[in-house]
Amino acid sequence: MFDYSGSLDGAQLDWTLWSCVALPWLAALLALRAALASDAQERERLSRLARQASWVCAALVVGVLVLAAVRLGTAAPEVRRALAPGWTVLSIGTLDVNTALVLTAFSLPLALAAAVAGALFIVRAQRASLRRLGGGSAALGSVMLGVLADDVVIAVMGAALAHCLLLVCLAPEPGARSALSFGLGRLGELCLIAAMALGAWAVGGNWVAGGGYVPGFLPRVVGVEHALESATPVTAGSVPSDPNGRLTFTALPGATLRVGSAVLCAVDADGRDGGVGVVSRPCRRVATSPFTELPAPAALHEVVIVTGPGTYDLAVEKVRIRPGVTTDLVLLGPTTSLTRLADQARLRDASGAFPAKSALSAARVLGVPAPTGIAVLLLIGLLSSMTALLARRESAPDDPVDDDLALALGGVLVAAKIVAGLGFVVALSGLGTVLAILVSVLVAAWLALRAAYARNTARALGLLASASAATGAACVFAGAPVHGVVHVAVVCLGLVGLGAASGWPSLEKAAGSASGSPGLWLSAQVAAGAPLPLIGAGVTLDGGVRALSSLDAGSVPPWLLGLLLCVGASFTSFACWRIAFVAARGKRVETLEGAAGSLPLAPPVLGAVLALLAASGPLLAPLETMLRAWWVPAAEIAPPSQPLLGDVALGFVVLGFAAAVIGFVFARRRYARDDWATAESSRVFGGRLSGETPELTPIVSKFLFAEVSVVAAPLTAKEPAEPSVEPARSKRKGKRR
Amino acid sequence: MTRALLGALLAVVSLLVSLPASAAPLALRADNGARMLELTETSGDLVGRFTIENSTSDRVQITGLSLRRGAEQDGFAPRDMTVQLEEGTSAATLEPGTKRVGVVRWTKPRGIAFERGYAMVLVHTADSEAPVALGVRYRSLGTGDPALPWIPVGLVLVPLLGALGVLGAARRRDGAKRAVRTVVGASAGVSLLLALYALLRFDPALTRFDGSEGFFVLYRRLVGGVELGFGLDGLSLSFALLLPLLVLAAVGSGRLAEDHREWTSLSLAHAGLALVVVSLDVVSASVGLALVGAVIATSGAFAEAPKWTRWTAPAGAALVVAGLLLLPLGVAGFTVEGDATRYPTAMLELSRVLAGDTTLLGGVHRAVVVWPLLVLGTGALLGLPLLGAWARPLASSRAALAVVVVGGLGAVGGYLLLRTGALVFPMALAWSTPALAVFGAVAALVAALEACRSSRWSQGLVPLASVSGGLAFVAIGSLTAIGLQAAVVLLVGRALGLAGALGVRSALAERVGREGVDRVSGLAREHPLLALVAAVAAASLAGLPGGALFVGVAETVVGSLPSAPGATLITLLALGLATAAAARAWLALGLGKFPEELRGSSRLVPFAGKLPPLRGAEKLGLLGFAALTILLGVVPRGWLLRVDGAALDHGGRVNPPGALEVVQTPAEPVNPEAPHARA
Repeated sequence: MFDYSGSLDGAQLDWTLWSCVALPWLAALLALRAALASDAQERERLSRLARQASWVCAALVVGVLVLAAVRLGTAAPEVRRALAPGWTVLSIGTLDVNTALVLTAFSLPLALAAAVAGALFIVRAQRASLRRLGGGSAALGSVMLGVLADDVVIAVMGAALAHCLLLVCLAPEPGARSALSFGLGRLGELCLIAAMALGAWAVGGNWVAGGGYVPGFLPRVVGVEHALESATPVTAGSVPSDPNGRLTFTALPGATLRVGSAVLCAVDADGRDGGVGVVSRPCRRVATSPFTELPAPAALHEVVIVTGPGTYDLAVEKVRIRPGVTTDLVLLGPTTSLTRLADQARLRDASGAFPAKSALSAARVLGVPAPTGIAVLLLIGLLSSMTALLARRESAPDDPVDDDLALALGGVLVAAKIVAGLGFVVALSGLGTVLAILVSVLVAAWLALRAAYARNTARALGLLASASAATGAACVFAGAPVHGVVHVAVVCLGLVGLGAASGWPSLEKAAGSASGSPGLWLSAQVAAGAPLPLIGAGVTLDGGVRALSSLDAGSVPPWLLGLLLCVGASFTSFACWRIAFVAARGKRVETLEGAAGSLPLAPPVLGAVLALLAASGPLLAPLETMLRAWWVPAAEIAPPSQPLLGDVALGFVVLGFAAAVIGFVFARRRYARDDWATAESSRVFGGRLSGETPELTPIVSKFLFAEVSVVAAPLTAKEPAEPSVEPARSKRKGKRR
Repeated sequence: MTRALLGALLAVVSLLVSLPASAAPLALRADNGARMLELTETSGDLVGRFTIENSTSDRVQITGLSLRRGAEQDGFAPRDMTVQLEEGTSAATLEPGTKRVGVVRWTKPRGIAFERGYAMVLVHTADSEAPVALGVRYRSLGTGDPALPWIPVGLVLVPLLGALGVLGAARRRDGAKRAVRTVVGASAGVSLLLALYALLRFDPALTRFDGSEGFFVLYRRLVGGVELGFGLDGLSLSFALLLPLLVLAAVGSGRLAEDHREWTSLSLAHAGLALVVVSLDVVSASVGLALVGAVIATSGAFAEAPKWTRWTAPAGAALVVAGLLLLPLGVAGFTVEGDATRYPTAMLELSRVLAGDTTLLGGVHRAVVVWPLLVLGTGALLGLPLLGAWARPLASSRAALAVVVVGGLGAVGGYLLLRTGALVFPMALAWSTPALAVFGAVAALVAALEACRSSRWSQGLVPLASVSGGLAFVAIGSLTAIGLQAAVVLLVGRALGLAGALGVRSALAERVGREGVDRVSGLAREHPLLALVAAVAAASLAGLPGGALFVGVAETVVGSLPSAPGATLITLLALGLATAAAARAWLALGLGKFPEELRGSSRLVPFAGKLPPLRGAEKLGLLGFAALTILLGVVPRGWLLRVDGAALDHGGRVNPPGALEVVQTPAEPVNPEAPHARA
């Protein structure tokens, strides 16, 4: 009845992904058990066990992810996602929320970044309290859930749990500001859910002028064919060696399929995979979703998906299953699953049009095009997540850098994943795209500028992580989603390395603490993408710059957007190298045990590898482009909406790289030789921009809570003043006296 | 006073019901002479015979026999049930004084499990537009489960017996307090067992298309001319389970209750709330609400609060009761036995007669009069800002009663609105959707702001709970099945969260005194278990992931976007503020240092300045609550599986699916004018 086609990503089942979530939680439970032990000796033994288990589990998470990535990379070309089935949290009608984990090109870099950062955090916290260690482990598991979960609701659950755990387990005395930041974070996450829901409903219908919603007349489920490359082609007149086709269905966990009057089997009466069962020859095991490539008799079938009580059974009329061909059953209509929404957008109907995309483009809610509304919600979500995690807690000056960075990364990585998953919707609207990109690049530049003046390493790194998320969002909105997520992952890995290598939260204490550490230089290079080409963030940024510059941005000059992104990159580069130079070349104050060494090398090395992979092969393009990557970096293989000529493209590549180099050069001039305090004292706008107050949280509060500022004020009014980091200049003056 | 009001109420209802209906040309009776036809099992089918007698002096032309089915999307009778004359026709001519026999037959589909269903045979004649009706009753489970029909009644009677038991136990000289609590706990335990039994027997696959309108227990009967109805379905089952849990929570943490009067009030409130939950007629629901309103007004909890606050709960109940009693005014329908009535009290009958009703009430559409009363009254019962000022004083002074009443009355009030809107009067719900959503969103925002002003644990509880109350309005106004389910989750989650939070408050008050509760800090170090329960309660009230409420919050955001996108955005803001308020309250309670002045207080000196550990029942209650909240938040499917069918049924009534949606359900919208969206 409904003739749909499209190039859908194949999936392979991979249960091991669940260990990425479960193992850290297991370690956390061991830590909790140790903490609750009453006997001192027993406590000591359990504590030792918990500490060992925590780093082993964290390392296993990294290993599992790498293995999963390798399996995915070596699978058949059409298989582009690994799926770990979960359980259904709620299911009503045709909408279900389940905990399935999915590893895709979007989630892989972010998951790797989270896993490596978490592992480093846990290793460094080995001598810390069990509360800190257990909280860190549990937060790692939660972030992994957030990054890997396919459903936005579950992803948000992961992010919120991580924030909650880190807030309680890391902060010594969190107070009202923590509460406000926590509320902002949840507001952001709810905005992300709302953005997803808006997209979901826009796919299934439209809002009419009177305020009601009218569903579109799309089918709920369709069969989409794609040929197996490994299968022998069937020519006219020949008899196929295998009369079965293949059936794939990964949605609605637990659903069974009726094929005509029979039931689809996982194992049929003869013990073979697939097939169908009837009353006289029942299945040995009935097939339940999710399953992939299950042999099914070739014919024209009437398929009914039996989803159980409380739901509607779904009928698919005339599903053709052909020998050597895989038929995907794809759900259409409202969903909170990122991959399912993306699948819908790829489907063409018989006329060659993209019905889901058309529905998304045409939908208007409250008089605003739905993609623009989604863009606004995504930006609020991203900004709220960022500002909430910008160490807006009552941190002590001597708290480790890891705490702030962990808080920042948890939300940023999950938000980046959701933004990347929904970015294609935003790109459907010209106005929405331009607005979203403009806001993103401006925010990125502003945050990087603030980081460049921050006197607190932890704060600077948190700001830079947020800036990377904004830059990544701009890339996503411009049509280069994988570049966007890889950029976020690479920069965050660089920042983790930088934080680990520099050691102390304040620049004053960090000064000279990491002298000679190779991890420091490599981390700064990876996070800044300069001065060496092709190592670190520069590679991924190139793709973003080119995508932006070739964007059809209406009356806004596209080069302006690219230029703004370059400005942000320049500030980012400056801020990263500033920290590196101060830590390495400044006046040595004291050293932090364990700050130097080979451990901080791991994140930047992974970041560099990720960036190269993104530019060259498995993540973005066929492997043969690896060599080309040395000549023309990611820009050449970026998916711009409007192709550029080679020379122009190269020009933008050079522009992006040059911006980062400029940042490096300025940082080197100022901080490579002088004592950092002296260099800092002569900076333009130093007094205005280095202060702690004019950060984004008050700004967001002001604009977002304009109407409620009177009430929001008591949240901070009665609390003791935050321990402020006084400007170094005045401190030094004090010392001189 | 209360009794007088109730008496007057019943008198008015009886008067309305006894208004004469028009005389019917035919007399319909079961073949055994009963006024209702009971189908009995005959060779696998359920069959019943009835006689049609021409009691007039004229010849009567029967033009057709039918079952009162409603539209295909909104069927009242099973699809496979048929009716015809014995000779196989459905038309005949009856001479004066003659009879014909009709046969009702239902071939039961396999696997359907409900206790009892009702249908109605209609005989159409050429002389009259109005058909003559005969009620039909049938059983699906047969006689295999005699206990099931009594569960709704038991859920009401057991707490009433508990109240009597309290009065008896209070006369004991020794250990009266303990005995009273034991009696209340025992009655709640029995209620819980009854509800659990019903839960286990409930078939989640049951829908309204299967023959009992989605109610697996349904009981309708005429008592003194007033039709009473009791029943349980996926929606009411959640609340039937919730109420005894709340009572048990109150028992676990209610040592501070001063005397047996609070426990008597609590048992009566439990009975009243249970009556509202199981009742399927406007009279029983009104009686239940009036009882709870009277309990609150006479609880003596408002001595330290402004006088007017005492009357806000009874006023809210009165508004709802007024709305319910005005609902059937001026419409004609049938009783369950098939007699015509001008004041049908049964909700199922009202849902049929109000579907196409256009008669005016006081010169305006019925919805304009009735619905605002129901909404405002429910707002007061939910303790929303400005409307429900009773909740905070009650929570401050009557800890045990507050657990049941503040949590339970809000939940049951919301449930009643949901039931009335989606089952009885979908037209009003669809009409009021934008206003309802905005009302809920604004209420949630104001409540969140109020919660933000309260920096300490006990001050912010009620406003925080009101946030989810406001969200429930948004969810009910969504018209989507997912939104209706969200409303159930929000109402139940809110009550559970409140129970936990008030339990923590009671436990603290018992140890440091009521005035010392808000001075406590550093609870995480001082009493980790209590701090953990407080964290779960705060997270649950704020709708954080891991708590039952989060599922409702996520469903509300998703489900209300189609019908009320603007209100949804406001709720996001409210939820952000509520989270901040909850986090702040917990951080102030849980972290920091335990105050030295409390260590030196007379209450703690006997315990070396430390908080004494939780007692057995207290620990069981609080940890059980925390475990239940987390369980419902992380694995809600086991619960929601039983709500899904009812939510879809109610959602389908108010917002039928579109004609071209490819699903295996009938596809003819009943009310094409209503905006429809399904998930």
